[in-house]
Amino acid sequence: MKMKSLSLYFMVIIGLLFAGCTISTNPQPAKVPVVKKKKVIYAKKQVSPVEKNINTKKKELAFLNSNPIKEFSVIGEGIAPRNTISPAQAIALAKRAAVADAYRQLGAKLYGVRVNSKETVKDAALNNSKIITQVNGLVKDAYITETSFKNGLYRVKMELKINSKTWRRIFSY
Amino acid sequence: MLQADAEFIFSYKLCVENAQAVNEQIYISRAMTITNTQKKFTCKINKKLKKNETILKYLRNNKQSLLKCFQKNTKYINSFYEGNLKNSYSQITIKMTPIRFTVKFNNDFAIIDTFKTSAK
Repeated sequence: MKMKSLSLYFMVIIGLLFAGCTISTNPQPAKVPVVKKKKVIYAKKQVSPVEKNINTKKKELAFLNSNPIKEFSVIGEGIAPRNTISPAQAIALAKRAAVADAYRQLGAKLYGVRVNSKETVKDAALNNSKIITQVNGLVKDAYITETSFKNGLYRVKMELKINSKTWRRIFSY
Repeated sequence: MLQADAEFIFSYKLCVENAQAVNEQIYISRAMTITNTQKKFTCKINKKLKKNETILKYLRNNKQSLLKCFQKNTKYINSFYEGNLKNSYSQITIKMTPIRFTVKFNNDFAIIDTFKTSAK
């Protein structure tokens, strides 16, 4: 029995030697298990073009509501008549025509345009077409900012600044 | 030298057909009654009043600069456009509402004042 137990001890010792197990005197600190953060991928919110358009319009409206002064700008054009005494007269008359055109455009922007149209069809073909547009209105405090004369065409840039409260009071319809 | 101010009325009418000015009327006349409301400075005409020149004549000679003075004044716009298959016709009429003003003459220039309206 003694021999058996001794041989068993001997085998265990040899086994341990082969396994290379050693008892260290300075044990290393136990490593803290690192928990890897899982990357979460969020799907981008798909904004439809209609929604985008609404958002931009909302922004524009917010800007318009916050801006106390509304500004209207138009470019009027006029040409010089042929039967003039001098080039100076031609320019002066062209300027008058351009100013009138600018006023008309301002009136159209502020008050709107009345449109009447008539089309005549005969034997399934367009026989006549007639369009009448009209602008009526009062414009005040409009002023000329730029003028230019090139190739017989006079251009006038006209601006009108109006308080948004006044604008709403007069033109909200 | 500072002359006493007189009161005048200015009004203007312009007719444009097919982008060409065809008729322009400038009216300057002396006011028969005097306004007692507060005045406000409108513009300055840098031209002297000549000897033996009446104020009305002076204003008529400088009607273009006077027109510039009242550029911001209220204007009534009437526009008409007719388009057919081959031709088109457009007419724009601009009328400036009559405005009362006074002229003060200094040695080298004249000062144009208008009257403050009760609405303002």
